[in-house]
Amino acid sequence: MERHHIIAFSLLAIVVVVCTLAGREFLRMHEPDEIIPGPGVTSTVSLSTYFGALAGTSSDANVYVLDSGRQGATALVLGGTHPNEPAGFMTAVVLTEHVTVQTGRLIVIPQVCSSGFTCTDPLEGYPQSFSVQSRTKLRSFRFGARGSNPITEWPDPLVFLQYPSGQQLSGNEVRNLNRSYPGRPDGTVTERVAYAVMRLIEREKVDIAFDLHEAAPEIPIINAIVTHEKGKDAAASALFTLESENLQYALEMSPPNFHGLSHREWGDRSPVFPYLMETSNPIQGRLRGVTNEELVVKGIDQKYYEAAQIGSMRITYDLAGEPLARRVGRHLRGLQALLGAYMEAMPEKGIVVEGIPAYEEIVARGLGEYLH
Amino acid sequence: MLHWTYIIIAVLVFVLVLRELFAERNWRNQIALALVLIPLVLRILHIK
Repeated sequence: MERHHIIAFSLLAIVVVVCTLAGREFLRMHEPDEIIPGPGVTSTVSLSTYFGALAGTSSDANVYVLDSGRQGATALVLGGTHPNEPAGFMTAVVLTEHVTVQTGRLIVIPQVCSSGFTCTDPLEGYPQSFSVQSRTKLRSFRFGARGSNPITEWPDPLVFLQYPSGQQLSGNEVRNLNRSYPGRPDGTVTERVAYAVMRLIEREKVDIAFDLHEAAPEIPIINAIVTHEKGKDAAASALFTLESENLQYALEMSPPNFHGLSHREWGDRSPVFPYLMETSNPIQGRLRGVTNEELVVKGIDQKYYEAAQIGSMRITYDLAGEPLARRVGRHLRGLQALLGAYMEAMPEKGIVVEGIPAYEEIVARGLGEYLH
Repeated sequence: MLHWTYIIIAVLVFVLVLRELFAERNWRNQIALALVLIPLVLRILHIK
């Protein structure tokens, strides 16, 4: 055997070792997070219940139903539409593990884009997971990518033609669940998930629905509620309640010509009142420095503090940062205020959810206090 | 369909790079070729 053949075999052995180590690390993200159904959960089904083609795929997701048994409104909460926006899915986890429903029904999907939880976005340096100390143990949750895992539907097209509008978007948006509604049964993996969510809304006769998000601190739509036209009065009423508690939210109208988004398509294609909420998440921003688990949980970043000092931020950002507990608290309080406003607008459709931690409470005591 | 076309192309490129790894006599170039193999293996096996 010649010398260069020996080198080739040696390098090949190193390739095998590197692929094994890296592969184990990547495959670890396919292990589901532990979400422990709380006392309010009456049944757990899969998203594939509403569209069978998702069964057995990495795009199927758990759906937790909290049914009071008393007639009233049905509310749907989606977390994890974008798996790199942890306050969205952690809010849904708190609802699943902590609250009970006294009137009506609450349906929660904490990780709706489950495929997106199996990878991180390239070139961002994101951590693969983050931990929260609960009352009993250290809980670990995956920090995923903005869209579905490219491995499930690669390659992305150069231009994404949104179905059915034909709207042209950047190619990688093809894996963005919040550009894929209403979806289609024979479409991409992401369109199928969107289709399943639409079937759930239809079959469960959902009255009010929430899509929980986060965004970079420098973008205009943060600490905001986005509403469809039909939900604007209830949203305005909720905003007054929140303002009276010194919680500032911007009210944004869903653009009628921007298709594929939950607040647009759910509202146009079903009787549901749809709301999308955004909090401010420094790890998604371009100004951020060290990108690690601590930034996910504590939300403290020196550069955002400096930007706030020179007046370049439209939100308050101090040395306390934007901790995950505060962001989850904002989502929970916003959701509660919107449910209250909805009940005022539709007195015949009651929904009473008990055990939602108060904003001040969750900020003071921490997120872990409300997890098993 | 497009996805599997992509995977077939990845397999073909993998075979070509592997063949080159054994044909190449300069060890520095061999290292570069070995590095190229890693993402190809992970993509073909649907790991990353």
